[in-house]
Amino acid sequence: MKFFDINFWINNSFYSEEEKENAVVKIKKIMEDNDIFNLIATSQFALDYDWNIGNEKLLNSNLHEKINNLYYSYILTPDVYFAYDFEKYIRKAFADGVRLFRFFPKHHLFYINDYYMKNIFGLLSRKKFPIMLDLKELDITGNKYFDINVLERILDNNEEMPVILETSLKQCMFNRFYFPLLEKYKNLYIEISGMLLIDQIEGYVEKFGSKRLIFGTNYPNIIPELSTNRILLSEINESDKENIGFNNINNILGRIEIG
Amino acid sequence: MAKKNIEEEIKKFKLIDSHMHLGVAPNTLYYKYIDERVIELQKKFNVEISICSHCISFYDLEGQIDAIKKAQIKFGRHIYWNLVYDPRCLEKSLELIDKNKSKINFAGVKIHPVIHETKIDSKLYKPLWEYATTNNIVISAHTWSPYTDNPKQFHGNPLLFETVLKEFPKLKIILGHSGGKVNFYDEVIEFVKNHENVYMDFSGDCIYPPVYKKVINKAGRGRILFGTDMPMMDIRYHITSVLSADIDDSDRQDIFYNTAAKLYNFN
Repeated sequence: MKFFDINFWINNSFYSEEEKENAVVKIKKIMEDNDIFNLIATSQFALDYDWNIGNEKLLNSNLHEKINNLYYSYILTPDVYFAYDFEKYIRKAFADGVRLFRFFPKHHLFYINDYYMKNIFGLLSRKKFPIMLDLKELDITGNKYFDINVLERILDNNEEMPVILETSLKQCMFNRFYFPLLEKYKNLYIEISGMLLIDQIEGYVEKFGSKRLIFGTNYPNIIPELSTNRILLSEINESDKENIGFNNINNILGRIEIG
Repeated sequence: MAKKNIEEEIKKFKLIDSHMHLGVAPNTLYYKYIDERVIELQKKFNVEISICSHCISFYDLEGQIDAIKKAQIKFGRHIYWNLVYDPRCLEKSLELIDKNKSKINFAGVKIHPVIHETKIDSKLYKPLWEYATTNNIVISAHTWSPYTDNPKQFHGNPLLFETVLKEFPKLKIILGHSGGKVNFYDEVIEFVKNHENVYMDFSGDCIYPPVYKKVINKAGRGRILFGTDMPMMDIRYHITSVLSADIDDSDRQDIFYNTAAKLYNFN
């Protein structure tokens, strides 16, 4: 069984060649130990400090060149739309190994469906380029009540854009937003690292099929063994495990039309 | 960590789940829930004894007795029960505990300072501390880190037991979830190190294998109990967590079984 981890955080600074090399060795070992054949890495720096500088750091790490099947995800804010020619930005990002864009509107203080974001999503939808959102970033009350209307508008207007929802903070245990969203939107997927409730993975597979779940570890917040073994030990058939572990995201990425 | 076949590996151990529940967890979205599935999963992973508080207990003190009796008939005596003490109804709580502890497969008393919105060091718990000390009863407490957005969790700060233990040094306390957050563990481990009757369980959603070695190195062996918080959680994560930890198999067996067996006198 092989895994494709889309939620792997990198918090290295990459100031020296030695540090870059150490990161390569460490990531390769994690991948090898856990049968992670493909991986999409995100910069913690881009979340905590500055999206653009963090993405640049990630790119300058050269991990994509040094580790087979390691790709990047960039964290974006609406700024990307006026700071760059976004069409060219996407093309260059793709050529540099970026396969996923992530957005943290609460963290970075923007409205997920503002003028710029609408244009960003519109372009990504035309290219069938996937994005990942953390639902708690749409928590407008601070009390785990999420702005689902805005998410619905994004999904309605961008049917070709695969939207992957993270599951941190046990959100998908307590709220009742996921089921109706998955019923309604075929371009919506759930990343599994936070699916901690008893039989939750089995339940989603039974209700929605295995093609709506996507493997992620949320490393280093969660060690990869926990997520890989949860899939290996799940009571679903082998082809469903393979879909979740690898095939679903691989298929999504295979449909990107960069132009 | 070298790859392990978890299903094979777990066969080497017998387990006590010292922190689990039956019944639906509050306001939780289950696709399908039945008690039988909780027990089935526990048995599949070698859990021989479960220490359970029924989820309804936190909201319905009298209802818990009925729920426990029904579950005892259905599942037999491998489940031991924690009865819940609600500090807002302290007399009724103690009366129910005293009246029923000999009628059920009694393990100890559970408190949930967050659901009951009462701080651990509140005087409303004092009758329980006196009763538990007199009757040598183990207290299992929900505890959580004060470094959280949710102010209700402040009630469950495990460090609040400091003043309680000054007055009741013989109390046996299990810190459920051990404070629940990785960035708080060092403080909790230091606290446990200084109190010989205080134990930790790492049930719940903060599943962090390196913590086991840290506790053993700093507070000594025999201070950790295996717990899951099922059906809020899935046991497969907790099994993998202990089996992934950088500790030896004798430590694993202590965590999985021996420490709880000794604490609860199951031998």
